[in-house]
Amino acid sequence: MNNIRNFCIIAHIDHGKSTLADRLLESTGTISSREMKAQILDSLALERERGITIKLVPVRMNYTAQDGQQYILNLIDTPGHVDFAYEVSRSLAACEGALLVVDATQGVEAQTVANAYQAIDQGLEILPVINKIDLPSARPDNAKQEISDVVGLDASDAVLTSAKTGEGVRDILERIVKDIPAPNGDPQAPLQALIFDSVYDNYRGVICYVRVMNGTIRTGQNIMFMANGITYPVNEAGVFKPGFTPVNELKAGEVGYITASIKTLAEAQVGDTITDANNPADSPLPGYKKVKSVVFCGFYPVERDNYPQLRDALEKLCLNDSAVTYEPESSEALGFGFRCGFLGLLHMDVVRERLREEYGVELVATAPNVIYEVVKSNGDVIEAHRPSDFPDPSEIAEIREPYIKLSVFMPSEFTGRVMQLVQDKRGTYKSMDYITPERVRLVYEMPLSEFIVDFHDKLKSQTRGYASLDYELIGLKASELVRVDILVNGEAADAFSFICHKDAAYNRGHAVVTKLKELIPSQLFEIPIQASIGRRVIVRVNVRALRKDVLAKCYGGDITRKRKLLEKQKEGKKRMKQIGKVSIPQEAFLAFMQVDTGEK
Amino acid sequence: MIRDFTLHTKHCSLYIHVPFCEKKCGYCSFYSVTDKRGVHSWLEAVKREAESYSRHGRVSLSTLYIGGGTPTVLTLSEWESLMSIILSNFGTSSITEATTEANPNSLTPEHVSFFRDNNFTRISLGVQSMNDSELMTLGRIHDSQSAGNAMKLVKSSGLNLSCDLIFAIPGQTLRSWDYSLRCVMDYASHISCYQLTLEPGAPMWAKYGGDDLNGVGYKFYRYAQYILPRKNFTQYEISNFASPGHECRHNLAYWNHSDVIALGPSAVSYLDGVRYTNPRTLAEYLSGNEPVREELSPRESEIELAVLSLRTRFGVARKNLLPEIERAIKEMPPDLFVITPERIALSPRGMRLGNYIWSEIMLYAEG
Repeated sequence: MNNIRNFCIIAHIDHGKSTLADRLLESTGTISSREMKAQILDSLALERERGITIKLVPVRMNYTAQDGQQYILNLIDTPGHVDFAYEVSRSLAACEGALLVVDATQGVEAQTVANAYQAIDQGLEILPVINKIDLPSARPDNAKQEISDVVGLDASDAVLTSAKTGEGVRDILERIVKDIPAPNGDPQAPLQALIFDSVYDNYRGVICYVRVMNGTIRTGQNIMFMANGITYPVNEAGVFKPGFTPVNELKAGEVGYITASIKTLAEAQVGDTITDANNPADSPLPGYKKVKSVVFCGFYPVERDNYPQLRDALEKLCLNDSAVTYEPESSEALGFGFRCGFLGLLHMDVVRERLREEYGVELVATAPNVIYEVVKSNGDVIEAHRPSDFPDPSEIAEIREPYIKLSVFMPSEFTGRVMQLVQDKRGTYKSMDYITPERVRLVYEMPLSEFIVDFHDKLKSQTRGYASLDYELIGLKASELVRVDILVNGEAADAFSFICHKDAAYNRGHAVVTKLKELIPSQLFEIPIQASIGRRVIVRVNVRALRKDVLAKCYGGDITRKRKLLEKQKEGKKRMKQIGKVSIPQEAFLAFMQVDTGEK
Repeated sequence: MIRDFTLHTKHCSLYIHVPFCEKKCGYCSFYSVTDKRGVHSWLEAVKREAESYSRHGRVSLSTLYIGGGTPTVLTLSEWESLMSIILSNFGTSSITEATTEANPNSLTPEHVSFFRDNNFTRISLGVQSMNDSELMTLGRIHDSQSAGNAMKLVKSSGLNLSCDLIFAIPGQTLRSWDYSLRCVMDYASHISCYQLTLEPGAPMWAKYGGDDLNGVGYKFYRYAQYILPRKNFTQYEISNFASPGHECRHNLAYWNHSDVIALGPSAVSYLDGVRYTNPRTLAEYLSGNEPVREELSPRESEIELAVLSLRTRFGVARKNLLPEIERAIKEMPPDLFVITPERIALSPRGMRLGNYIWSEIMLYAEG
């Protein structure tokens, strides 16, 4: 056990984490350069495409150090994104140390800080690494200074490396052996193994990635999942070399995997503790929680007939991503689909891409939204997913919505613009500090609902891509929210109603009714379109009545042609949805689902 | 073109398509050719087609309509051949209305005398506009002066005059539209007002095609609906206005699903509930290609008849109306209709929105 080192790499996106991991594998001979696809650990096609890591893939390396001893180094790769904060925390819990990789040309970024703090909180030994020193614009001393100033870690002895050229990689391996503590644990104690990830395999069922904390896990042993009490006999235990390699047993301190013919990921949740069914541990390892979706959107097949295909794809996808939730829903514009819940925006994009890439499903995604909590006057508390879930304004005592704490790192010249942007999105100022004379960190609290609607894009365009951000959910807060109803010819059109802050109600209501006015064709009578809060109408526009719709001339030769023309017009009407006496074309529903509601 | 069916009808209308023009007009997508060398073979083919109807017995005609094309590009001797085809194959003694179309520049006093002598009752003159620059835009070969002369010529012959006018011509104003209307009012007892509509294939399509002209036509159409009734021209159909007793009976036959025999290329007959469309081009017609047969289901036919009848101010009888159609009508704003215990017709506003109303009716009637 003294010769085992369990560590992970934490870094901001693009700071070279995956390349460095590849270099470590190569350097220890775990994988020859011949077998080396660039960035071997990012196994999902999408991850490689985006250059980001989402799913953790652990690997075991054998290393002979300068002291002549053989070491086993277990690298547990972590997703760098805040959407997966819980998974990151479980991966960190499986390690004793972390490499903190900082780009020598860019310095400390938002996610560097968030992940470093998380590692420090969990008592990991942090080993600062300055990467990309081969680049002409590299300023390693500045990067060291920033680590010390912003993260508060002494980085004077940080390893300087270039994952690209291989320079400094040996030094990293030596420092891992020297600085990161060996795991401790009692191989004789009752079994406690932490599940830090689990994946689904079509042939073997669920494969649990585990770190054995105490005790020993063996093939054939009866194990129990402590969160739900389900027991299974172990089919196979093994280690990552980097392929799955069976071993007889995994002892305390070791990292490996087990299979036990487990059918669904829900039975083997990340963060749960595996113990011996015949000799269970007194308590599970700390930190387990059920993950909860925070961002929701509708997925609909592009072709309505492809609904079963989408359903099957979602079912399969959920076998190896238990964080996705879905339930059927239907929309006037899009037909049958699913309302899906995600850990965050990136997670949502990842799932959508996977459905497309791995399952070949073309889909339409509606604008994302969050869950609100409504406290009624009678004290009842309800969860509201859709505007239609909201009770009448007179019955509402308070509405709460999820808030985030947002940190933005950026060159100081953009401060004014970013503050403006965040304030427009209902952000509340918390703090601002200078990391260096040229770089600023802004901390705000803002509603998640505002964050998930194009905040990232706007931030990028306001800062020409120089800002980085990180956020964490800080819980629900009361907000002055209202439901704005849209009435078409006096009838409520549920599909167009929305929730927003009361100060934005007029502008957004105006944007929606104006858009509808463009999209609803003139009909036989004038159609008022109104936006209202409760019974109070805040905006009204009219779609003027149709004045002429007849092209004359219809004699013997024209009758058939004319009838076909009318057939066509009729078919067009058929595709429209009736609200009261008004026909509303699909495009109106579609446009609304993707509408940028025009806030200034 | 051999008809292998027996005609049940004893009275019907006859239409003959004359597919020749001096020049194609810019907006026109009706079938015609400018090469007149085909006239002789066309006459031969029309004769064969007429005989294919008369071999089973002589049909007595109620109305006759010679259209085109430009029937007045035919010479008098060609006209005589055409008349003898009609007279030798059909019974003409019960004809109540006989019309020929004519063009202001090719209509001669000799033509007019010929029509009068051969018991024609009506000449439909393609005036289109009384404004020379509008006529140029349309690519017409006549000017307003020759149109005026032609109108006088017909009027003085004692034949009834119908004039076609076009609105929503690029450059047209309400004032020029009013002028054209007033000029023809003095001579005509029947006025057809058509909105300029361009189809791919019409020469003007390249320049103006594809624009949505429906909204553009509103004010002109509205104005015609305003001024003509005040001058004693009742709007008896979407595009037709007539002084009392001068409604075109031949056209009413189409809107009432009455039987029509139609001869010539691209002509469309309606017989015993079946529609037959002749080959479109002269060449195909001459080579004796069979017409395309179209037979609607009884229900479809009923819906079509309701829609066609609703084109006219007489409307549709409620007695046999499909209940779905009646319900569809009740769902729409009442100011679109004139409803009596016996019949339902479109109001003037309803006539402006005909397409919308008819497609709505078809939607409901589909069930």
